[in-house]
Amino acid sequence: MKSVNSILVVLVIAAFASAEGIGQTQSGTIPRMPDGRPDLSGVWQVLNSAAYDIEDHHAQPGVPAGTGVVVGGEIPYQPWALEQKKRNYANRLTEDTDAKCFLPGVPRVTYMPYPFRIIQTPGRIDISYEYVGALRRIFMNGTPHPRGPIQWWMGDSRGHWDGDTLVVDVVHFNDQTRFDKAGNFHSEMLHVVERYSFIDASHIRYEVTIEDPKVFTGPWKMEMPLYRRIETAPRVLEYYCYGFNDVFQLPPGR
Amino acid sequence: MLLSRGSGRKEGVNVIRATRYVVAVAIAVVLPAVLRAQAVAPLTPPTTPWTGSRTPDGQPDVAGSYAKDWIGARGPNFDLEEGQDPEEMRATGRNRENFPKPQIVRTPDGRIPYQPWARELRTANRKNFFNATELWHLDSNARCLPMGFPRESLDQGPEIIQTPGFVFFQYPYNSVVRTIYLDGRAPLNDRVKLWYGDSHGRWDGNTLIVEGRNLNEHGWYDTYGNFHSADLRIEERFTFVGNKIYYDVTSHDPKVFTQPWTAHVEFTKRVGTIDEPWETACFEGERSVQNMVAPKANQPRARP
Repeated sequence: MKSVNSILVVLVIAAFASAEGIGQTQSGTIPRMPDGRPDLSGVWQVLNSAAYDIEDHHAQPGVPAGTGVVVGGEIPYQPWALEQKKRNYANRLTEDTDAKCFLPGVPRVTYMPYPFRIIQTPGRIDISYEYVGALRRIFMNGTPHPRGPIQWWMGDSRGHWDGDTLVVDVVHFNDQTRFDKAGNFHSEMLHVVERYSFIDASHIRYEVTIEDPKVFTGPWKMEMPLYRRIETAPRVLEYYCYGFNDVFQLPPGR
Repeated sequence: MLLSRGSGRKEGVNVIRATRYVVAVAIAVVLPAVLRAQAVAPLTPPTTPWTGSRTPDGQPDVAGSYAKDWIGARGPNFDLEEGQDPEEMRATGRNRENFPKPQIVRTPDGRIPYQPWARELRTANRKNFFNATELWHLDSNARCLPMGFPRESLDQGPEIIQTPGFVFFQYPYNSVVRTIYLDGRAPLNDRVKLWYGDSHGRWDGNTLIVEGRNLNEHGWYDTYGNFHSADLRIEERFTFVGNKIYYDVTSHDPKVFTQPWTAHVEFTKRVGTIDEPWETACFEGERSVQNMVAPKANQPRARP
């Protein structure tokens, strides 16, 4: 009885579970949850140079050239903020979160050149990022943002479905994170709205609206595809970069 | 004895050889049996078929938040062999006799079966921790680095999330996600070392059996210097009975231990309104670690 039970479980799990990666790429349909919602589960990654500069940029040593992800080409900075952006660019090698290995904020964590895994259940969608082990929990149970002021590195994420599009509203940021390594920045007034919608089973259209009345003259948008990691058995590994710096101090000889 | 029967007095050398052989066989055959006989009784009920509800992909449905049960063994700071935080006892002046001593290490004497050199290093680790002059004298958690497994899973109750082909254990304290693959994928190459390793699981009735490998050597078992090498392999059994998890983790590390040993803790499912898990960020706000190290050493700055 017990062994029959176990065999059944193994068979059932095998039938459902063997599909990650290359098995999920059949075209035509998008994966769906039992409740009919799109199922974003899986390992995803961007394929662009937005981590270096979200605006159009030419190559520099260690920086690949890239066409930007900002819709319309340029970020509508207020005049003082454009000057600040230039100062940020000058100090990027020491003051940017990527240099310090701090949590990078949203949406920057999405377009860091590292994979992330979306873990979807009806009440919550979690995203586990390889980069600094960041974890976002997107609450899907209709609850509002907690009352502020709160300043978190990754903000507070509340999601809902607009048809087949996952819409995530993110607030409660601090003013320490930037959008990229080029010094593009925001204040603690940042308000991010992300939209995730399938193009096909292996591609997600990722659209982001940025609002920050302290820094910009108006809202602006980013847009880019997310690519499913379609190799067999993709993994999100670890990039705890703060373990590489001198705080780590491994014992000598080990 | 059977082997020695044919050895005559005239064959003195052979007798000695045979005797050596008998002794060797006796040690090889009898000693493990003796050790098994000395093993302490398990605290975990035997595995039974799962009778509760199942997830859409057929797993026993065990999703939910769990809390660790034992007084005196809460928080990240406890000594695995004592089941208590000796520093807390020292600082508060509490009498440790007044606290129940959970038997986490399931060996007859409650001690981790270190090889002699490893016991010495563990003692040195512990001494260094209380008199730190170098940052690496402090455990990884004190430096805002990951705890690693199995420390994280011994230390706090998980939130369990299940999706087809996966079980995820989230540990709110460090915002850690552990991915347990049920899909039978190939193991990761041994040369890849991770704080949280590579975990492969399967269900047997009400028990989730997990094998963990690829663990680095930088995560201790606790704050107080109990350690393993990068060859550690862990076998874990999460047995779900009622609202409880009985958790047994067996450490195999022939570089450090004389034999595999098992640690046991228990968790209870949380009911009622459960607080939302919110952001935890440790390293970003870290300003005190330097103060935990005696100022006599020339310390590098924690960060720019």
